[in-house]
Amino acid sequence: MSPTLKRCLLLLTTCLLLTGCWDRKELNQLAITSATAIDWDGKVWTVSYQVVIPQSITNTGGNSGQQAPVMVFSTSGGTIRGTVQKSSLEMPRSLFFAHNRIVIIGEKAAEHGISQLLDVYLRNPDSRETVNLLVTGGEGRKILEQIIPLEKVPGSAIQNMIRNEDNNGSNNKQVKLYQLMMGSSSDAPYTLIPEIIISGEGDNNTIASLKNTSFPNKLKLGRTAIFKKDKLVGWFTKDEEYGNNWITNQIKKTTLYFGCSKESTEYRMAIRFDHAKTKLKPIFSDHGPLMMQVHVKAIGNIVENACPTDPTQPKDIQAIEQAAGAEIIRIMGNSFQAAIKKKVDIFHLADLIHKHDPTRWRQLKPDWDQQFANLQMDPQVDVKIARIGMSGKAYREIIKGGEE
Amino acid sequence: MNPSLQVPFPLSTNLQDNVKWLKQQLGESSDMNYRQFELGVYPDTNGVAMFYIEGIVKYDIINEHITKPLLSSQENESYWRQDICFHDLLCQAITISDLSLSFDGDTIVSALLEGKTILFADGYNEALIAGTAGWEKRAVDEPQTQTVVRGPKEGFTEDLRTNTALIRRKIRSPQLRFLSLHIGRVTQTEVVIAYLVGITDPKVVEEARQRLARIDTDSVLESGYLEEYIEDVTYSPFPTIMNTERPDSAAAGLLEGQIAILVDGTPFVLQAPVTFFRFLQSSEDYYQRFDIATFIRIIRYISFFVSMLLPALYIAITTFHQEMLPTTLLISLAAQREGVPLPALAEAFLMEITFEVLREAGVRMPRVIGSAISIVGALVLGQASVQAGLVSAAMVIIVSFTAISNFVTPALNMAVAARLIRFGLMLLAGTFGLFGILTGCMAILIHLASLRSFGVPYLTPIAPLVMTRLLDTFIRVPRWLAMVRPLSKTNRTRQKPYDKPSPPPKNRL
Repeated sequence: MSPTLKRCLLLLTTCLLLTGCWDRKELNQLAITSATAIDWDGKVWTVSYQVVIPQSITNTGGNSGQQAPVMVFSTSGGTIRGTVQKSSLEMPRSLFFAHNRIVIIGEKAAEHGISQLLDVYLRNPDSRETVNLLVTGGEGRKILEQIIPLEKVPGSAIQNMIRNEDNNGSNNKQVKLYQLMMGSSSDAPYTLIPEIIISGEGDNNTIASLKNTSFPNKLKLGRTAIFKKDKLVGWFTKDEEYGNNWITNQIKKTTLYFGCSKESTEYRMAIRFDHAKTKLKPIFSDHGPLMMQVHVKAIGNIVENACPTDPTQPKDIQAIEQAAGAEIIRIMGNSFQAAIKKKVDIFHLADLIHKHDPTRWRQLKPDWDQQFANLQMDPQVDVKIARIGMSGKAYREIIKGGEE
Repeated sequence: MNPSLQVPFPLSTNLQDNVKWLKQQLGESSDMNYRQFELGVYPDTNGVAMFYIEGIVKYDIINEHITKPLLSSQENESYWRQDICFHDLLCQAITISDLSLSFDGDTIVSALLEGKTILFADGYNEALIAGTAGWEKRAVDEPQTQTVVRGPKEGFTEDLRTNTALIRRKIRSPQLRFLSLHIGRVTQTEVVIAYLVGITDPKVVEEARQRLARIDTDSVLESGYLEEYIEDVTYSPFPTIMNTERPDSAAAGLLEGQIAILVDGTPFVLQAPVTFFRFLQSSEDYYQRFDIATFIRIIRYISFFVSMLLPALYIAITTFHQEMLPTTLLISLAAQREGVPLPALAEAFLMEITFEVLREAGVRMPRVIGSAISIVGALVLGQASVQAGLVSAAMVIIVSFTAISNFVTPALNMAVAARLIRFGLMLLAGTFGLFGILTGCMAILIHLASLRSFGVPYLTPIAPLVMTRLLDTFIRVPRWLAMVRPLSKTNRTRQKPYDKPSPPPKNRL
């Protein structure tokens, strides 16, 4: 045993005596927060927490099913972290935010601006910038109180809801907090955040209601909030956001329904797209308005058909592809017009120009709003049908053939 | 050297003096048998005295080849002519091949203690030593420790000669040499170094011989005694000398360039030099098909690290890094911990120590009451303790899985090392979380890299990196690829390169 070794051992032993200090936290000293909501009433922040009650969730606890899976409470104060600190006045355990899945922003807070919240998230190691942001029309707390069947933890249920929509429907995109930060600090400081609403009558905040098979109300994704920098400035409808997702290359998987021909809006056919790629390209001309070239390439399968066209024929396939393309163009057009009318550059065209052509961006920047108001869209859509499914002609047509 | 004999005793020509002397040497010990024969028809000869120790001789040999000829010679006068000498008696009467003469008291006494028979004849100051050693041996049966599914089922026994024979039977080569020493001032235990000339590094043999020769102790009862005397590093949980109960494993070691040290009285043969990875390999790896063996070997490596780290990781993650767990798991762990009074560290320690106690009890218990342990064990390490609210169910799972993983390690001494280190790592985890575990692992790694076994770096072939040997460390390549002897410096080639088997050409079938 050399003296150095002895010294090291002594150091180690003294370190081991430190146990209990530092930041050790047993699991039963934590209040696992699954969702938070933030509201502003003009003077103070109110932060609401949805705290998971573990015993009532797992089957090991004796009283599972007897007790609500979560508890919701709020604290208020001038600063967000200070408000969180106040929770220790009424909680036997310390709040643990690492598993917080969603942050719900009340409408007033959204209008006031949530830069303070963003700062809290950036500054503290225990808060994750990957939480999903949602906006709600009224108070955020109301959303946290809702019980959701199927899922034990409402917070993660809401997150799964938006994630599922993002991956399989692509009508609403899930927005994580860091994406809002990126969006609000870019040249076109606009971010779209999905809204969550309670549809139906009353509240669904007792466990007793889970005994029924249907509920008078439920949580649902609603419109889409437009944030300029950190403030709420307006709303888009669902369809408008859907178009925007097509424009901005945010479609993952989606089912598109359309009419039998290019012009028809009598929807009788559906394609499930599982690959979609959009390229945006600004086209400059010295004597015309600025053009935005939108080039969509989408590959999908026919999943429903009630049109006279016969997908087994190549020329009919082309017609179907064109009809679908026309529908996509229509959807994108609506969305584009809405954005132009509201003067919000949700396509982040400004960033695109800045990135690819900084010198021109410097010229454009002073009167960008003017430029944007006169923006034109030049859409091109290539739809490719990969598979027509397991039957050929529409069943409707087959029956008709029998009549003849 | 027998301490009672400082000066070599010169025998007297008087038979009675010699008899008295030899009796005195063993202090009239009750297991010494002595018989005197009247020989011949000459009144001036007192005849012959015979000594042997009961229980370590073969009686039928003594009866058939010593007593009988000597007694029959009494009638047969032609034996005892006037000019007869002791040597002739040797040559003619006693029909034992292992015969020698000695004038030296020391030699005589130790020969007697080895089970040989001593004959004194009146008028001669020398003794006849007849090899009659033989005793009750345990039969060669299956080794208790390193069992295999496929492979030879014979194990070493407590008898040294049986053991050397078992190795000799595996390697019928004149290159196989046994070098014998006697260690232990009181026990005079025979120790044999086995090596293969031309394959084993002579320096290693010489080093081993010197280290063994240096030992000055009164007793060697098991090879573990020697292990502690000759290992390179004493203050380390990791063994730097391997032991085996399997002749095939010892033979394979010899062919790889290891030496084997056999000790009389124990079935455990020491093997050196050895690397860390050898402890996690089983001889069966080489009997199974190589792909299966590789898979199982990798499982074994993983299990070793699991058995060392799993409780520590559990403690660290549940007390410091809860954010690393998936939410559902965290919630169910939290639910289990509701109502558990102890912090995770104390809980883990409690369970681990409980398990160690159970294990030890299982080893020490008389076989008759062995079934009790499984019943009690299931209670203390199972659902009952969870329902009693002492521990969480997850902890029980962790401890059980750790235990099972630990049993996977083929070498017991390495498994014990992992168990010891586990406790240290648990303390570190409970104090500093993952940071502590990482620090601990670094310390262990540094320590491992500093170890040597008879001069061979412990972490070969990883540090230093030896590419050719990597083929047989984590994976096991097919035999026709394993061309290099790992530990040999002199003769590294095993076989022709790339002697890959292939079906015969079509026209031959």
